[in-house]
Amino acid sequence: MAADFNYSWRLFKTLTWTNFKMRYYGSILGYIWSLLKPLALFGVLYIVFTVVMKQKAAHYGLFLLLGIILWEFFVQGSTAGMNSFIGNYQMIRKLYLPRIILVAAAVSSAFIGLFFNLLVFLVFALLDGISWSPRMLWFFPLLIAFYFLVLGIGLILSMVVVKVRDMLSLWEVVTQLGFWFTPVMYPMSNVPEKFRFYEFLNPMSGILEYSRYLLIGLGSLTKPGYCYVMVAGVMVLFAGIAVFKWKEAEMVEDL
Amino acid sequence: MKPAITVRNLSKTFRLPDERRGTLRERLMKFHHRNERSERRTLDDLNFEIQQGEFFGIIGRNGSGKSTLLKILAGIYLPDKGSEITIHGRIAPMLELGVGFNPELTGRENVFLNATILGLTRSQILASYEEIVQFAELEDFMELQVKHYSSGMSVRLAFAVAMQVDAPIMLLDEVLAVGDFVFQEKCFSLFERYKKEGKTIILVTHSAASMKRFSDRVMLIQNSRVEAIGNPEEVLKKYHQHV
Repeated sequence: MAADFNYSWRLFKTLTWTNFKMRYYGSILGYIWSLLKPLALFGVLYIVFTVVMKQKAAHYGLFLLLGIILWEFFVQGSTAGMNSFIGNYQMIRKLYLPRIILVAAAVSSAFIGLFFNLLVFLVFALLDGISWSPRMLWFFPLLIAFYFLVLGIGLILSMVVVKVRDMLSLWEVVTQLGFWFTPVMYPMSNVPEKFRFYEFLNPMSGILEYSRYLLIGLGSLTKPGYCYVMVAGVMVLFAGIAVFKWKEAEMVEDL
Repeated sequence: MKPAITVRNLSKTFRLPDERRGTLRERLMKFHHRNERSERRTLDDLNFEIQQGEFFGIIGRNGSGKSTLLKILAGIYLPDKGSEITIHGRIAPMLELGVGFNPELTGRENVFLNATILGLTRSQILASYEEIVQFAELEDFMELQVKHYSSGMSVRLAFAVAMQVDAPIMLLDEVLAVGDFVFQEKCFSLFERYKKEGKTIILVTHSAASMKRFSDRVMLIQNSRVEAIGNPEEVLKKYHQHV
């Protein structure tokens, strides 16, 4: 039992690191390239909103940057998780290994990417005059719930996609629509009151809104809302593990 | 002697590919005959025992179910309900060399990746790294991406890593089929070493010669069932009669 756990842990570390390296491989500027996509999106949106639409809210740049960085992890992490099972079919068909590790490693390497992007955010935040506050510590539990949420979704999608290959394209559409239905570019306070509750049902809304409140001081945070996000993250992860364990053996044969 | 592996009433049924629906469109179009199941029994009620320290050969024609059997023993596929498999000791499947090799990574990185997948710890890999490189004769190429290797070079590297795996039970699937005769001789001497160390070895192959040379007992699988089991000479004779 202990040996199994040690093996899983070693495998997890090695595969996470390998995945992370592969994403930036073949170019010294690899990491900078990976930043380019969120930064370019940020630049365009920032110009549109401040220059064209005359948005004058304080820290709007930081507001947008944090939203895009977090959303980027949601998309990258869930997509990597979805692909990790079918993408490793050679390994899966030739040897027994705890396959759940493959998904966890894919999501975790995206999580390392999020970590580096948050360092970039930190630089901008310091430049923009954000100062330390103990409130910010509450961001870390939120980050863990976020990781759980994405891992749970990745686990479910990794099984679904074996049977329904269309999910690969479908998920791209879902995340694209989600970008607009989640408060990435706008604060929750701009959402009409009667829809706000429903939008908060999407745990991503809480994650974005509360992260901004905790790190930048914009928007608001309610305790029930924060708890909801934490519980939702854990529940989705459990659901993901349950679905994965339930379908895993069958999907190995269908690969 | 205690048996290393005991198999009782082992069956395996696969759903046939036409029942699996790939895309959403296909799924929707075939939705109406959802309950029609076409199945194929690949293994039908297998019973056998493998003793500890035994070199056990499995032979059979393509499609007889021997690879499925190996995958079930390796834990890749689950057998049907009611099958009983008891395994004493850790089992190391070698169904293919270089599982997890990534062409974009260097030889060195692939050694660490592949060896980790095969169950070695980091300190074990570090300790045997020099030996792996020397055995593969790739001293000058370890920092080169594996995509620039010739196929012979990657096989040598993969084999050198696989040699480091140490488990009481080894499952080998025609690993010998690849490579030239020098390489095959290397494989054979590895088998000799395993035998001397008292490991239990299960080998699936088409090659009657290597069966005769190594096996203590051979099992012939024919049409999803155990057709014969026992002395290599006799079982191989039976195999050739059938073919």
